[in-house]
Amino acid sequence: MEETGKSTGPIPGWQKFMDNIFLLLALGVVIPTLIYTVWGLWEIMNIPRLPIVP
Amino acid sequence: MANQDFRICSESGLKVYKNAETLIKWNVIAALATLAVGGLMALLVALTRWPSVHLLGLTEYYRFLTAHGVDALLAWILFFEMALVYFASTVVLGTRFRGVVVGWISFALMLIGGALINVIIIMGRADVMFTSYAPLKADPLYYLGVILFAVGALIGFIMFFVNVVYAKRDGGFKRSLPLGSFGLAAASIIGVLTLAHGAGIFIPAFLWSLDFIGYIDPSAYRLVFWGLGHSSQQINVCAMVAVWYMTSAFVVGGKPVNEKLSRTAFVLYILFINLASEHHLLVDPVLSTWHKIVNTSYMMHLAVLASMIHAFAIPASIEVALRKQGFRSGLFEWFKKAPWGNPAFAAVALSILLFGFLGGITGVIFGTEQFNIIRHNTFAITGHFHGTVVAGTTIAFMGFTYLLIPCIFKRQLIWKGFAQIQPYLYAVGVAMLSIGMMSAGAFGVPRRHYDITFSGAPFSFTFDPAIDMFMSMMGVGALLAVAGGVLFILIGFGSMIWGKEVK
Amino acid sequence: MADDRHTEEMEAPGVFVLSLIFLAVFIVIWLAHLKWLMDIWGVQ
Repeated sequence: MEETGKSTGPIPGWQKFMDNIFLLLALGVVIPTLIYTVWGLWEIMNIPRLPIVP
Repeated sequence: MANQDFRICSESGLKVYKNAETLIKWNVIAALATLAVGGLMALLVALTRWPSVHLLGLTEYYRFLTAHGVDALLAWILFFEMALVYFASTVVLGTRFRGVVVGWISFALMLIGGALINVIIIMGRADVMFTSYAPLKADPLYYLGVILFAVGALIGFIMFFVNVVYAKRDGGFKRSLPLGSFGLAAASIIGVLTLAHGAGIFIPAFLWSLDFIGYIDPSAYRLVFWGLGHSSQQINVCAMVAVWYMTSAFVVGGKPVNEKLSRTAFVLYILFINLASEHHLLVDPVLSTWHKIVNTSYMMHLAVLASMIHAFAIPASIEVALRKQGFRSGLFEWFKKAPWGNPAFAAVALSILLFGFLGGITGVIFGTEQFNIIRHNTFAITGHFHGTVVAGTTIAFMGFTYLLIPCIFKRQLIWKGFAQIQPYLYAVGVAMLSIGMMSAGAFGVPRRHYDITFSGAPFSFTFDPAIDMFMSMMGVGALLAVAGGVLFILIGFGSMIWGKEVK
Repeated sequence: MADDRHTEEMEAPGVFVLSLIFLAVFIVIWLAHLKWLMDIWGVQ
């Protein structure tokens, strides 16, 4: 499989963003972890406890 | 320079280095072996769920169902994905495998972990389903096996990144990865997230099974587990879509009609598809409606947009390629004259069709809060994920195996006639299986349930008699699918051993 | 530039038509499925 498009000229910003797989890795780990895991754990931890009646 | 040993694959023109070739080969072999085990378990379990047969006893059903989940969903798929990410970061780029020893360590960990899991399950010390929800507690060796397997897979995904960095340095590609490799980069990125969650849940669970930790909160377990569990399915989606693009390229010379759109779709997968883990938690009372709606409705539909893009981009690329080959008459000559007799092509076409209509759409529907409460824990859920992982990912991976056998194993396929029909046989079987399950689930038939006649229970309950037809449909579908699966395993291993050598 | 795009032929007319067909089929199946579900759930 060869690269398609051998155009010259400045590389579009969006292409530069997508070419940076380590940036994508960082975002792909951080964003879901914050929105799903961290937020979820925060909610679970903030459920008020039932008082234990002796 | 160490190890310049390479050859040119006569099928694809790609440069195949020996050290990459061996690693890819053994991961494919392990993948097919675990598929065979998972498939055997599938047969036993399906013949038990089919009320007319009800094959296994109570304990065996849950035991083999656990094994089926681990082997068919985790092991077969992840071993094959290791082969794919190594292929995409070495052979596709024409470079050699860097860090071969680490690659073999990864393989060994996955093999040992996988074997340990299976042995512990068969010994009856882990009847916990592959979800192993706390407070169900398995033998510590079960959790250890999962940890070893997961660490092995994580190392494999990391090796993808290592190899891509070196490939760029060695001139394997200039600016952008080829699209198939980009798709597997997306898979590897999601893989890192997935396995980080895996560590986050299985290490505490392991310590809990050894009584070093006293208590694991079940809702927290479910939250983090599905960060591993569903995200691992998104690795499969990215890998499957990458296989669709690569097969289109290898078989008909298809090029993406719009690189930017296809790549953006993969980026949408990376950023948003993981949040579909939430749909396992929609019925849990502990999470707020906001958490549920943001993580399903909002985020998931961005990811589904990506699937829609790929679903049309790939057939379009096939059409453009076939039109270039001369099939320009009318709207559909290309469609009629497409290489339907090529098992790799047929598998990918069937995978796109079935993943879209059976698996993907039902996933989006069941993933909404209003619908989920009706479908949760019914057989319809099982029908959904057999539509995605089996009709989608597994068929696509089977198709790609038919390309890897000549290119990597340097063998021609044996039983070419059977190979041509195998994808169709398997697809029809899985489609029937999936539709049967979903229809039965619409009537409330539960999943992971040994006996829906409730014989011996202190109460009686009968489902609508319509379910008998759907459960039989599931059973017959399962038999056809297993037949297709057995054919695949025989052709796969048979070709590797006895296939005529390709020069 | 923009003008060229308007005069170019559609590259994949077959897939375009297939997508319309599938959309139509999907809507029909979806509505039929919805009706079936309403029947078996007894929705008035």
